Order: sequence, then C-alpha cells, then structure tokens
Amino acid sequence: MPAFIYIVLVMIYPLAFNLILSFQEVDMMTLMKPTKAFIGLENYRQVITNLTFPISLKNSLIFTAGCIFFQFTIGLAFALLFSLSFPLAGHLRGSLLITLMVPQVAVSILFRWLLSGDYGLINELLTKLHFVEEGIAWLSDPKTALAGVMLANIWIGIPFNMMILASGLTAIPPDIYEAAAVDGAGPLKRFIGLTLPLLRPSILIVLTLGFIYTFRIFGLIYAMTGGGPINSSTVLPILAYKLSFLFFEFGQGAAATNILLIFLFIVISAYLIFSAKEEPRE
Amino acid sequence: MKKTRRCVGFFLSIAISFLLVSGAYGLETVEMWSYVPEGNYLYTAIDIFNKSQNQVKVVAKNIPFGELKRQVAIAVAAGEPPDFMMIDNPDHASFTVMGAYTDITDRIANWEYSGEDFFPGPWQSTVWENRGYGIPIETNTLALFYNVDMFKEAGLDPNRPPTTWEELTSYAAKLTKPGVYGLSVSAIGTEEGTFQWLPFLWQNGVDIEDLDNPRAVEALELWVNWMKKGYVSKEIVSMDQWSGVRVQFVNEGAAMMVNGPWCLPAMGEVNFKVALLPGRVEKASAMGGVNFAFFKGKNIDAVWEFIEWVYQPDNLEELAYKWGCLPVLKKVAETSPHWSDTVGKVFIEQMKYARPRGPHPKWPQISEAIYTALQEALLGVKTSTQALKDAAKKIEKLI
Repeated sequence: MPAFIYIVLVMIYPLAFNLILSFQEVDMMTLMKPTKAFIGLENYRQVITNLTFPISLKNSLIFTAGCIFFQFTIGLAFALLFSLSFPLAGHLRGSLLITLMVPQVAVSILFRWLLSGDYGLINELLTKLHFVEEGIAWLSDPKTALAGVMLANIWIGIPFNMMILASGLTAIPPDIYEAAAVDGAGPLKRFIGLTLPLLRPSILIVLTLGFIYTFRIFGLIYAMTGGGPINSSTVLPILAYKLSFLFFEFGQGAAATNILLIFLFIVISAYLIFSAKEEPRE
Repeated sequence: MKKTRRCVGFFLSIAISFLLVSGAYGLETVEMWSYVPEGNYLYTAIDIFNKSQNQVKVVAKNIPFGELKRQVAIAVAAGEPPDFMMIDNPDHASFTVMGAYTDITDRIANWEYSGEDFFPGPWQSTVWENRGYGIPIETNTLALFYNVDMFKEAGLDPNRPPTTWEELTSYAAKLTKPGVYGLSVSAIGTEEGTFQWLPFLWQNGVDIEDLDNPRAVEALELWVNWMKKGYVSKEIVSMDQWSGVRVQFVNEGAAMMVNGPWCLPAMGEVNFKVALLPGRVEKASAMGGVNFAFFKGKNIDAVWEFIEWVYQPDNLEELAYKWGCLPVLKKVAETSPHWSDTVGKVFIEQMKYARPRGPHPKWPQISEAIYTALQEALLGVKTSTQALKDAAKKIEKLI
C-alpha cells in the first residue's frame, strides 16, 4: 500500500497532470485563469508544425544513437581491459569512475574550455599535429556543435557503461573460457561466441538505461550551447523547455515532453519484452 | 516637580513598552525574488533597511538568471508567488499580461515621484496600456570600451574613438593582429545577442517592424563583414556579454568591445576608456535593466515601506554605484558623484540615446526571431537579406 501511494504521488500524478496540460490551452494569457479550455490535439499540432521540431527530433536521435554507440563500445573495451588482471587494474578502474561524480555543469564548463575555438586545448593539439590549419570553433559552428556536446556526454557515459558491463563479465565463470580454449576457439571466437551472449542481460540493461539518460538530456547541452547556434544542438527536451519557459506556451511544452515520453515508453517496452524472453532459460 | 517627573517617567515607560510590543508583533516579513547574485550590494542595502526600522523585514531570495522566469511562472500558476520581484525589463510586459502583477497606478499617483522623474526608457518598460505595473530600479546601456595601449600601438589616438560605422570598421581592422581581435560583440542566441545588435539597427534609422528594409540589411552586413574579415572572433555566436565578451577584452584578446556598465567593477588591469557607440543615421543604444514588480494579492503595503526607503536619493545613489548600474532617477544620476568621471559621463550621455525593447508580451518570441537571423547571417547559413526577410515574417505574425 505505501508503495502504491508513493507511485501515485510521485509518478502517476505528474504524468497525468502533464497529459491534461497538453490538451489544454495554457499560455501566458490563460495561466492564471481558474478554468482552462480543452483544445484537443492543437498543442501537439503546434509542436509538430513548429519549425524547430524536425531539427530537434533529428538531433535527439543522432545524439542518442551516437552517444550510446561510443559509450557502449568504449565502455565495453575498458571493461574487457580491466577484467584482465594486471598491476593497478583496480585503481585505474576506480579512477575512471571519478567522471561520474563531476556535476554536469562542471563538465559543461570544462568542455566549453577544451573545445573553445580561440584558446581551446583540443584545437591546440589539432593544430600542433597539423590536422587543421586554424582552430575549429566547435561549439560556435552549426556543423560541429552537436558533435561537441556529444563528446562531453560520451565522456560522462563511458564509466557507467564500463561498470555495468564489468560486473556482467565477472559473473561469467572463467572455466567456460578454458574449455573453449581447449576446443581450439581463438580469442575473437571466444568473444563473439561466449562473452557477448553471456553478457546479453547486462548489455540490454546498459543500452536501455543509456537510451533513457541520453534521450532526455537537458542540463549538459543547455549549459554548453543553450541548444545553439541556430538550434544546431537543440534536442527535444530543450525545445520543450524553450516552449514552456522562454515563450510561456505551457500547453505546447507539455505536449513536447509527452512526445518525448512516447519514445522512452517504446524503448522501455522493448526492454521488458526482450528481458522476459531471457527468463525461461534460467 | 518630583511628581511630574515620576509621571513623565511612567508614561514614557508605557510608551516605550508599547512601541517595543507593537514592533515585535507588527513586524511583517515580505519576500523578494531576483537573479542578482549573492554578494551584490543589493543584499547589504536590504540589510541596512531591515535594521533601520522594525515594521518590515525584506527577505531576498536569489535565483539564477536562467531559472528565475521559470520559477516565477510555476509559482504564479501554483498561486504562491513572493510579494515582489526584480524582473528584467523586456520581460515585464509578459508577466503583466499574464496577470501576475498588481496595478500600482494609483499608488504612484500619491508617491513623491512620478514617471517624469525617471529615465523614460526604463519607466516605459513598466507601463502596459497606460497603467503602471512596476518601478525601475536598475538601468544600463551599451557603450564602446576600448584598450588605450592597443590604440597607441596601432597608431590611433586614444582621445579620438570611432564615431561612425566606417571608422569603427577601419579601427577594428587596424587593431586586429595575431591573437587579438579588433572588436568584440555578443551574437549569442539569447536575449543578449538581440540586445547587442539592436543599437546598430536603430542607428541606421529603422526598427524591428522593418527588418526587410535594406537599411536593416546594412546593419546586419556590418557585423557579417567583421566576421568575414576576422575582426571579430567566430566564437561571438556563443559568447555572452559577461563571461564571453568582457573576459576576452579584459584578457586583451580584443581591443574594443560593446558592453555595459555592469563590467566596470570587473575590468581587471586593462587600461581602457569608454566612448559613445558610433552612430550612422542617428545615435542609438539599447536600454537594459530591471524593475520592481509586485504580485497580486500580496502584502504591497509592507513592500511599499521598502520602496519609500530605497528611492531616497542617497540610498538609490549608493545602491546603483555599488551595483555597477546607473541610478534610474534622472536627478540622482545627474548629481551622483560616482558618475561624474569620464567613464560615468559617457554612460549618462549614452543613456539619452538608449531605447527600450518592447514593451511587448511576445518580446521573447520577437527577440528569438532577431537573434536567429543574426546567427544565420553570421554563420553563413542564409544571406543577410534572406535571414531578415524570414525574421520579418515571424515578427509580423507576433505583433
């Protein structure tokens, strides 16, 4: 019962409130009126026809796919590396977790400096190594701004991926590998034939959680670029924020967050279906 | 004789205890929200006020700039706003139209000051449909800062700053060298970008209703040309005025900058001077600042005690000076000892040409159309003509 009350108060109520809000006309003029008109799907229509919506959706998808791909592959590489026992492996793995403890705003400031076109360390390196003639204004160029914020987010996400995958690796009994080696399976074959299938539950959870965290990202991008220049790094949550709190179109802002929720809902459902398939094997 | 003295003593002690009791019971607490950061003299001033009497206590809450409007909107929707707030003046009309603020027209009519006593721009930003919804407390405007040493090095006379667009551009060209940009402005995709470019639009004799006018295109091409020639950094599209433009100038990464008086307390070791923004068809600058606004259904009588105190000339003068902004009352600004030096005089003079943004409840959308056009042209996504044509279309729908 207490759990039920908790879920109703903390989860159902805000979701329901947001859903109702998205069907009402709530903007600057009507915010303080005691009753608000229901306008059906008008807010959704407004959001979808908003010129920024297609860009935001595209950016959200690119950002999420790109971040997850790199976080996952690099995280997995690190997890495999640290599963080998070599001196200081534990310490090094621990030190990677530090990035998880840095507040997002601090990360955004750090990367703004690293990526700065005039004084940035990354440009310094690129020019010294003669990859580029003059510094790239990473966050000030619509062609590179999204890549810039992705870089920061990948950096944040790697240790999280590594940690979950590493704990999955330790659950695999080492004697299976020995048996496979005796049967003549090489390292690559052992990785594809044994490690990946046995890691499946960890991979599923890390990808699902990664999607949820990445798709609804707001603070990091807002602090690094504010979604700019010219919406080149605007993702759906930033669009929703701007609609609600810059333009005071609260109904449309609610609609935008609900569109975001639909995507999250699909991914979580997919996870539940996939993980349900796993269970009978046990 | 002795009897009367005892009598006086008796009544006096009753009077004192009555005062003490009424003081303790009569203390009314009012809450104010603002984005003014901790450590600003504003909080010292509020402290002084709180200690100066025992009727009203002002409790100030500081909310980061980007968060303030959001929090206020939520508080208003929930019916739990503070008693009063400080609002950035282009946003004032939005909240007035929302119905959040109390109409104080009648209260002002019985006050010692009227709208005439204030600088017209700041005052105008509090008015909506001929009714008063607030009082300006801080105002500022943009001027041209320039590095005296760099002027000398480039063979320019530091006592003769640029006065026309052509001069500004040619000075910027002369001052640009490896590691140093001739000029710095903010073209960031926020209100600040709009704020910085509008003076140039106005200087060319047009306003936001005529963005598809060739004169507007000229004003935008001026900036685009600076960027193409490398007189300004490519980063100006993501540089704000305080931590971007000011920092670049203070670290001698730019020889001139367009910026406001709030920089004055934080100019480091740079040897700089300030001049009026160069003009073209006419002189113009943008007016910024914050206003007090009072929420409906809250304790405005108590807040008014604070208002009466803060607008006393001495208190206002000190507050404005230590805050790094101009006193909003004309008489105080003109007689203030702190604004009589060369830099101060320039800002007071510039204030005469400072124009408000809006007031319009849809200002945030109008502003977005403007800074988007600015960025599109600077980044070469669209031509200046096309960018402004698109912005004009958006603004036409809003106005």
